[in-house]
Order: sequence, then C-alpha cells, then structure tokens
Amino acid sequence: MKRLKQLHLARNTITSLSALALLTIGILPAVIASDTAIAATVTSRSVSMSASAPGASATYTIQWTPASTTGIAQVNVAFCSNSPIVSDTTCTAPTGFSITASPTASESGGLAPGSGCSWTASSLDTNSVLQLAYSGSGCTTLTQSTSTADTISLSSVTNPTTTCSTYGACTFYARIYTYSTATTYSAGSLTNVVDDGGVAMSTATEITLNATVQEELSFCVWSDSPTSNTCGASNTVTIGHTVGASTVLDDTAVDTAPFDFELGTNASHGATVSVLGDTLTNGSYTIPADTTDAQICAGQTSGGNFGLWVSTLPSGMTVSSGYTATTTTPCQEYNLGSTATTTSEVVSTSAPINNATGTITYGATAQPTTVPGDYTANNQLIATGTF
Amino acid sequence: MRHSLAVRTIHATIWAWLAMPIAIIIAGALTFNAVAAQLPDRSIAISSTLPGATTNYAISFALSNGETLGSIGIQFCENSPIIGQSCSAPSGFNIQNAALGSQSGPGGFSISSLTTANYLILNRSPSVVPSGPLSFNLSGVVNPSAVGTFFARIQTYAETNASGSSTDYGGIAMAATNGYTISATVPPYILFCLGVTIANHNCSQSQGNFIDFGDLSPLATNSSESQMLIQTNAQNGYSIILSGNTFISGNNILPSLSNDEPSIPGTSQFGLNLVANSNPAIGQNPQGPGSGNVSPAYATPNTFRFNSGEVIASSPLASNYKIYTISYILNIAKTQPSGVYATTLTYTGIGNF
Repeated sequence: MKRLKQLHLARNTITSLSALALLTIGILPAVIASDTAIAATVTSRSVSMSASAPGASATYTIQWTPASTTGIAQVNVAFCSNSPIVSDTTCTAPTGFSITASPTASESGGLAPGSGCSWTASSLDTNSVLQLAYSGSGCTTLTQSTSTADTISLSSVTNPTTTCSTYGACTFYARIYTYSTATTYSAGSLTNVVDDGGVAMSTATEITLNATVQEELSFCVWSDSPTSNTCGASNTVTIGHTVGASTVLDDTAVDTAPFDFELGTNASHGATVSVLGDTLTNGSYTIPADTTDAQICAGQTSGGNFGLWVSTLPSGMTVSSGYTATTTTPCQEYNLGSTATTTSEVVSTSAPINNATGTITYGATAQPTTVPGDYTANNQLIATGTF
Repeated sequence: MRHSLAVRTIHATIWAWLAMPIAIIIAGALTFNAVAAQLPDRSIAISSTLPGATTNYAISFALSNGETLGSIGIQFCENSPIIGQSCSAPSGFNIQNAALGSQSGPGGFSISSLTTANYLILNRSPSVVPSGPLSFNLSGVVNPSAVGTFFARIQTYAETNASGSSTDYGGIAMAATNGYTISATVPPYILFCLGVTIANHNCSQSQGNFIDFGDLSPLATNSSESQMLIQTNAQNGYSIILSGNTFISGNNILPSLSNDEPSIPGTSQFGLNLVANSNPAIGQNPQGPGSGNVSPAYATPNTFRFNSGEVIASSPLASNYKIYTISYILNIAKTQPSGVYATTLTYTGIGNF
C-alpha cells in the first residue's frame, strides 16, 4: 500500500514535472517575445537591376511584401558584398558600388506616402546604404499591408566593378530593414526593425555576339515593250507607230517606250536613280530634248520633242523635280535633264528599300522639219547608295 | 534565435542561385578594333555604270571624329565589302591610271604610287584633321567588265601609304548595269498640193483645179489666181518647177512673156508671178511659217513671165508649210485670132533630200 502510494506520488511528481516542463516551454516563447521584438521576414523580396554589367549605371527596383502591418517610419537598404544576413554586424560595401551621395528614389505600392507625407532619401556608409525617412506634417508612420508589395525605384546606381572572373565572384547582397520609428542605422542592428530580409544579386560579364550585315545594292533596268518583260530582257527598243509595214516617228503622234527598273539596297541613307544620256540623234541632227518638264504634243515645233517621266513610282521612293509629269492635258509632260556627260536625278529614297519596281516612260515626236533618218538615244539609269 | 538565423540563411542562398542574370548584347555592326568607327554618309557616285566604261568616280564620306589622317585606302572587290575578308578584284576594273581632280575636306591628297588596279591609295602629309565630310573626284576609272554588284572598302590611316592600323572604315555597294538604246526612224516626206484655193493651210481643204478667164478683150487685162502648199523635211529643202505651154487655140498661140514685163492691155501676153500685185490687183505674198522664197524672176510685183521648166519657188532647208499664191494675167491684141484658148500647167514640188 505504501509502495503504491509512493509510486503514485512518483507518477504524480513526474506528471507534475512534465506539466511544469510543458508549461515552461509554452511560456518561454511568450516570455522571449515580450522582452525582444523579433522582426518578421519580408516575403517576395527582390532587387531587379536594369543593367548587370560590372560598373554599369543602372536603376534598381527593390520590392518586398511586408510580413506585418505595423506602421513604419524608416526604410534602410544596405548593399553588402559579404552576406545577406540582416543581423550580420559586418556589411562590406561592394567594390565600386554607389547609390550616389544624393540618391534618387521613388516609392510606390505599399510605400506610397500618405497625403502630405513623403520619403526623404539619403545615403550612408560611403554611398552603399539607402535610407528613406518618412516625413511631413503629421506623418509619423506609414501603415503597411501584408497583401501589398512595397516598391522602391532607385536610379543612378553604379554597379559593383568587381570583374566576374570566377563563378560567384560578382555576387552581392541587399539587406532590407523597415523601422517603426526613426532609428540610427547600424549594420546588423535590429533595434526598432519591423520587417527585414536579405536578397542576393549578381553582376555578370557581357556576352557579345557579332553579326555582320554587309552593304548591299542591286539594280536592274529592262525594256517593257512591246510586251511586259523582266530583268535581263533586251534593252533596245524602237519608238514610233506603224505606218504601212514600218515603224516611224513623225509629227502626227507622240510615241512612247517604257522601261522598268528594280532597286534594292540597305543603304541607311537610301539611294538615288539618275538618268544619263542625250536625246535622239542622227549624226548632226537631233530631236530636241524637253529640258523644261513641259508638255510634248504631236509635231510641236517648240519646247522639245523627247523626254521621259516616271509613270510608275516604286513604293517608298520620291520622284525628283522635273519628272513628276503631273500635267497630262492636253498633252503629257516629259523631261530630259541629262546629257551625254551629266546625270539628272529621276527618283530617290532616303531609307533602305526592298526590291522596288518602277517604270519610266519615254515620249517622242518629230517636227514637220525633222530631217529624215534613223535616230538613236543611248541612255543609262544609274543607282547610287549612300551608306 | 539560431533556428531563425538558419532559415534566413537558406533563403539568402536560394536567392543567390536564382539571381544570376546573364547580359547578352547583340552587336549589329562589325567591331574589328577597339576604336575604329564606321565612316558615315559614304557613297561612290559613278558617272557611267556601263560595264567596261572609262568614267568618273565621285567618292564621298565623313569623319565622325577628328583624327590624324595620312592616307586613305579604297579597295574594290567583287565579292564583299567586309574589311578583313578576302578580296577578289572585279574583273576588268582598273583604277590605277585614274586622275584625281577636285577634292574637298582636309585636302592635300594625291594618288600614291602604290595604287594598284583595284586598290586606290590617297596620300597626304599626316596631320590632325577635324570631323566632317571629304570627297574626291576621280576620272579615268575603268568599270568592271561585267554587269552586277561590286564593292568598295574604305579605310583611313594615320600613316601614309595605308600602312599601320586603320583608324576608321566603311563599305559601299555599287552596281554596274547595261544601258538601253532607244531608236526611231523618221521617214522622208513632202506635202504638196494645188488648188484654186487652199483653206486653213490644209491640203484636204483645197478646192478647184480649173480656171476660166472668161472673154478676153484688148481693152482690159484678164487675171486669176491659184494656190499651192508645200511642206517637207528634206534637209536640203525643196524646189517648185513650173511646166506647160502658153494658151493655144488650134494653130493660134497667145504669146507668153519670156521676160519680166508689166501687164499691157491690147498686147497679147500671158504671164504669172507669185507675189501681191496692184496692176492688176491680184495675188498675195507667200504665207505660212515655212522657209522658202519666190524665185526672183517671179517675185517682182506687177511684172509677169512664163517660161516652162523654171523654178518658181524654193527653199534651201526643210520647211514647215508654205502657201504660194500664183497670179495669172492674160492680155490680147486686137489682131489676136479668135478662138477658145486653153492650157494645162503643171507644178512639180521636189524635195531635196
């Protein structure tokens, strides 16, 4: 009976001790919590860099989601090369890194200041720590939301200049701290910290890919009469109309001869197409060229009797002065500004053009006094690209 | 506490693994040395692009920055404008005998003796030149002998004779193309028509080929007119020849005026001229824009003549239309035998091609 009692006593004792232990364990966290406020870790935290090359100037977008709704009065973001540990009392500034002595930061999302309030940015520790202080009349703290991300856009940041010669050599870190009240920042100090968190980033060596695009220009001219042709077709054509069994040029009509051309070039400043050549000539006799962009009517005895106009303008090209031939009544306008030794620009483009096809049409008529014979005009179209 | 720190460390490590961006830069232009830049606004304007032609080349480009400039090398290739690639000289191309005409920019350039058929070297005394445009006009350049695209590679150098490292560079594409020939045949022609009248200088509106002088009288002159139009592109002009006989009635002849004489009523005469007259008041001077003149023998007002076979009007040049009015006079003496007198006159227009 006594032994049983003793056992019971022991069991009870053991039970009591266990209960006491359990109670102690359950209490301790509460006791610890009441003596030292443990900062919560912000979630969804990141630092996005607009440029990652060592030494490059970049804009950093620092973002996190608060873990608590406690109002904050100050934010510090410390950039360290040694570790992301927020409680680490050592924060070595990355080599060459700088947020400038007067950092430019804009706040949005959960950091958007209230009405009449603002964040004042400053730089600490040789421009490696960003400090934002909430200020304004009546602006004590900014309430946080655990469902709204806090965002800082920090511009004019100079990336660390460490060369990335080995794997991991260019890793550096950002330690994010939010404070409930204005606090003197000290590396690793969590006094008044509401939320915190570390982020790792890395600069990276650029990879350069070279691609060579060579200069290109392709050009072709061909006769488009009597039937439609393509590049490479004959470039000799007889201009005139049928009288009996012959093709003649006389004063009863203005006869025409079309020529097509095709131009393609990647010249950055485009290209010009110019005509070179003289009018229809038979020894010392000529059919006078129309050099004033005037109309040519059948058999006219003044103003020129031979010329051309741009009858089909390629898309992307512009007709040069004198070859627009806008007037067609009572007669078509023509022009020939070139000679055997001087060119005259017909069409142009100011940008690259992709195999555009156009047509120039020659027109000719004889005067009543045009000396009979066989007349010939040797012309060229010349394409010149400006790269 | 330690547990919390361990959690934080793991999170940081994960971020280190994830945050490893790789920067990729795609360069669209050739980079063959650290400081060389492309020459902007570069072009070569060729005066004639006919294959094999000897012609002028106008070379233009600009310097983006000031540099020491001692020479310019321009290599012509048929395969590529890319400096550093092999260069095949365009077949038939030759710039070795070209002459340098005008130049703009820093100036002072001349053609180096090291110039070859497809490699032009322009030398100057090396000096620092500012940024800006340069141009060179070359004559006597022989185009490639084949149609197609060919290229030029331009490089600038601080040293002369295109030696040492180049400073700036640029490629150009050009095209040699065939010209085209337009031919036309202008046929010889002459337009010649006759009529009592020709309206609106239009031969299709000529009317009448018969003139009735009526009853002849020794007291007054009978007269009449006819017209003829001529137009020709004969480069040596035309001649109009009169042929025929004087008025005849059976065996009776009304004598013609073989010399220029006035109209005298009561004297048997037949004659004509081609000008305006006052005695009698008939005829008019030639009309129309064409060239040509009445032969002097028939060009005196109030004097008339008739000699078959004579040229009555002519032009030494091709002529637009010309209308001649022929004035006829008939007079008879009292002793002229009666009868119906008639004649047929033929006018022949001849183009002198």
